[in-house]
Amino acid sequence: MKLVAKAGEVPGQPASRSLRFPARPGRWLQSIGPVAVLVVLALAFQLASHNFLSPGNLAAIAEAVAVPVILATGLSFVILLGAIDLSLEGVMATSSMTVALLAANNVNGHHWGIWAIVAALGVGVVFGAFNGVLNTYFRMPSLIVTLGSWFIGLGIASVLFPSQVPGIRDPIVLGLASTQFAGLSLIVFIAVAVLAIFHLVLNYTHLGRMIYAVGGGEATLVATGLRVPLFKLAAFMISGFLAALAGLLLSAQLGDGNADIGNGLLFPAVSACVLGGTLLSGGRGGAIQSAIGAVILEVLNNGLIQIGAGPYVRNIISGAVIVTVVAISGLHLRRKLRIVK
Amino acid sequence: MKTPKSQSCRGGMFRRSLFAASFAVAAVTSMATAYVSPARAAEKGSLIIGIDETASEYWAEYTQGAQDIADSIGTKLTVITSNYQGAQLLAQLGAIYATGCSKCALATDPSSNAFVKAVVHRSAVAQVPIVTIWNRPENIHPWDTDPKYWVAHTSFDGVMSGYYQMTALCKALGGKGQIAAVEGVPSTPPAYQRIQGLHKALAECPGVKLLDTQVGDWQETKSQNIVRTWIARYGDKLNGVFASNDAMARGAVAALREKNLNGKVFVTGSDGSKVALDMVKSGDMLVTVWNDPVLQGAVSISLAHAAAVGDIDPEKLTHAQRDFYLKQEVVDKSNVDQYLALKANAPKYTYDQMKANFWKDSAGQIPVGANK
Repeated sequence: MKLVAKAGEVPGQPASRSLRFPARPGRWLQSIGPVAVLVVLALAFQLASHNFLSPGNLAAIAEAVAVPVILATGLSFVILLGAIDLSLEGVMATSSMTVALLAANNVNGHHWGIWAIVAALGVGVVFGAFNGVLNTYFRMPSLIVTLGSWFIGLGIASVLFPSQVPGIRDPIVLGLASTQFAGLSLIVFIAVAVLAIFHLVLNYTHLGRMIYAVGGGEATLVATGLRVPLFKLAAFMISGFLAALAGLLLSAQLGDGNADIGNGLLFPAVSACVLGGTLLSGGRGGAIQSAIGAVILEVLNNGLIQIGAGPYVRNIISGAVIVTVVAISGLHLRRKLRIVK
Repeated sequence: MKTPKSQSCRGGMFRRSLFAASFAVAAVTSMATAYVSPARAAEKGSLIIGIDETASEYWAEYTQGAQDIADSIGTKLTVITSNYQGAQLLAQLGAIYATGCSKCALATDPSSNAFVKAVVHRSAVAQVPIVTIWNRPENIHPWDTDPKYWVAHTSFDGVMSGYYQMTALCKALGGKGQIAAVEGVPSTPPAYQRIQGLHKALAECPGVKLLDTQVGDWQETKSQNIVRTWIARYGDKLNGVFASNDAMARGAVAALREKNLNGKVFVTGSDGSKVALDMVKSGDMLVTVWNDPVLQGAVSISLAHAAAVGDIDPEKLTHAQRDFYLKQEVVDKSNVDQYLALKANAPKYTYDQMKANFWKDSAGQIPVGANK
């Protein structure tokens, strides 16, 4: 703990560094703010449509938010470092194509079964390792490295794409989406499990604490002689792994492989992290916070359809709510920042 | 905190990840099934097509049609991909034309209305005849803009497509029920045309009510989320989903399947993709509208090539020959087998066959106001 506390004293970083979230009024606003917004939004939509809090609609939200939660969880690891992972959509595209072409399908003779799932997830780990190695050992900015691997991922998916959309026929893969417990698909439970596991990893393991510490003050940490690159590498690999999992689960839901499967999911994932209170500058936030951000975004999407807002107005309202939430919940934090980029 | 034990644990994890990594790389390389030739300077008389993306069934089939023509005249097909970015298309055309391109021919989607004039002009400057597909602003035509080189524009009638879909929905619902519509990217002609067609048919079907229209941006996953929300909101009141393309229809069926409603709530799409045809056959989808991309590829590149080698003189063609829709058909359960067979064994088009009558499959001149 000593180490971590020291890292917090780096100039330009918020002063408080303890990981136990001490009870301070400002901190309280930061962590409770997004939850309060969520409650207010839910109540407002319920008042407007009377159907929003029905079990059917809550289940629809849970199904829709499962994948964004997984993406935001993975992305949190990288953002906590103060880095960014833009490759999510590319990783999802490649993992979707991989599982669709290796599991039993209607375009080729492969039927790898469970190994197709392993291969698809492995794709994500490889991408993560690639990003991590270039970022840490070759000292390239994560923004550029992951931008590159985003396009590499899309490119590989395009090359793999057969002449027609590959339909998945494998019962194990399809079972990920079609198996239901208590009216919710297995995907929802996987998302909850992922969130729980990686929340624990972040808060109760050496790796997790080091990720916070790197984000808080990498320079100091490097000076202590800790193997910082290894922690960063692990964060990128976790992000890649979870992006691949997201691609796999979406493919299972849709029942086919799709190179556009991640299209438009990167920026909502980044927004989810920021909305939940994870700082892009690193060192503060967490998986649960980012997941709450993802839920807020989906509640907005769903609620605006529920109240019958037109497709064009939806974007305006979503944007306005996001800006407002960040403005209110992060006010106390930004006061402490000397500069905002 | 930093114990040797935790170090070794992580080391083990790391080794295992490396193993998984090498495994995945092997898997990826073992299944590469398609190869797309990169843009490079074109040979004399070669055919060039500009497509929006490579990982799409529609564009793969369009390329196939153009490849057939290239094979039949013994020349090379150059494929350039714009990724829906007009600027990328222009840059690649510039690279191809830079070294000169004698008797070349280009067929391309200019990616959006905004780039049509620039793309046409870039080709005209290089003296390469061009045929455009899908995108054309209302106020410019092949006969009034670089008329010597802009040979023709061809597309599919989006209004008719939407009209066919909605008419089929109306019939299936017995003229009574409630539907919702998923629209494509709003600024593209097929998106607003298909929704326009929906409203046209809806006016003739007063018993059916349109509950909501949402934008799904042509995407499967977006449509799935929208339809899932509709199911929660409208429940039994939702009897049909009008999806503006097959990908969004797939998303709609995926959402309905979660509640075992597939086949019970009617879904329509447009494009005639393999998956959609399969779903029409299985009953998950009511209809799709067949636009034949192989034929579109063959017709568009043949016309451009004909102008390049002097088989036609663009300036002597009629307006109906220079700005036309290709025919499209409604596919439902009664005729789906015929289209599945066509999909499995697309006819191999030849240039001579096209040359006999380039407009054999024309559905008529694009009417004034269609691209507004």
